[in-house]
Amino acid sequence: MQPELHERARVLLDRGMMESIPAEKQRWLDHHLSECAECSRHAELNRRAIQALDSFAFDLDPAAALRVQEAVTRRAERMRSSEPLAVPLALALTIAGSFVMWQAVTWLAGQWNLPNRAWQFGFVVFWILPSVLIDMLLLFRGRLRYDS
Amino acid sequence: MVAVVMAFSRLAETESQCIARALRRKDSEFIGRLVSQFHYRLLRYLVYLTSRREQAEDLVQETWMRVLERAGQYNGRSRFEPWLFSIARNLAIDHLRRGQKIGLNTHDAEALLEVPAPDGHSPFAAAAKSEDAVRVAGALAALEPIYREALLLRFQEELSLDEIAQVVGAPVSTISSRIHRGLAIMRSRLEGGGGAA
Repeated sequence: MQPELHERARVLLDRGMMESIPAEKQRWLDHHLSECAECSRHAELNRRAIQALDSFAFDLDPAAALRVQEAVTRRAERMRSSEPLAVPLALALTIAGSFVMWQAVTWLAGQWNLPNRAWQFGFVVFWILPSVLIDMLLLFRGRLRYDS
Repeated sequence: MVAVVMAFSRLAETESQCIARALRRKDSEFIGRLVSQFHYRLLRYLVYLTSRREQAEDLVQETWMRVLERAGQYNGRSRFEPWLFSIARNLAIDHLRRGQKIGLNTHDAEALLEVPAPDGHSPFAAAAKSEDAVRVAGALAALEPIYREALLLRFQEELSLDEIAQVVGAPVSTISSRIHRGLAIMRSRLEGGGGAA
């Protein structure tokens, strides 16, 4: 049998371990394996290697596993109890702060006879937009990138 | 009406989305079950990566703490396992970096994983439960961790090549090469009929 046929078979065998191969190639491979003892052995060794990997079993200490579980759940509970305050508090402060600033700026604008549209535009650009941006960052912090 | 819609949408949620939601809400009961469900697999992965049983056990809890801290980054659109293992991997490498007290990029840091366990006791020898496993235990212990990791993630965790690439931060072609290499070494050990490790 030609060497390149064996090489092709082994490439397909190894590829088949990692992903599905087209049906036509699988049929060719099955036919080749039925006639080639050497490549059949290669396939058998692949199968045994994977079975051997499946045969490793690490002993677990149930008490240690329970300690980990309890430590993690305690931490989750602590995080849950502290987290709900941060975002509503930030939003409440933003709204209250904006109200106070609006009153102050309205009064100042009246004192200085500033055009309404001018100071209102300035208020939106220099107060409202930054406040909204900061609140959005607080709400979506930690979701900005996929951990890798 | 809103409650009915929400109930139906919850039914259609995938398992990954359930996990993502529970992590964001810090649902301690759900998280406790998750920890229990993944404990063995996470420990096994860290043993394969570090060859050090004791260090792997320490890293299991730290991995979950980091999962809690970064819960917002998991959106449930992909499977949970690749995200979990990538956190564990980065943690293992961070620990080794700190131990070396030098700055390394991730690729150089992978080389730190190759330092053998100081006491010379392989966790794989103890874990081998079949004749073939005993034969390959020595080869597995001697195998570079990046090959061992690739074999575990593909054949025991059944991650796709893309998912493994995501965990490891390497191209799919590199993952494929590592699996090929790892399998070739396992085959040669089985073919040679080597004894126990």
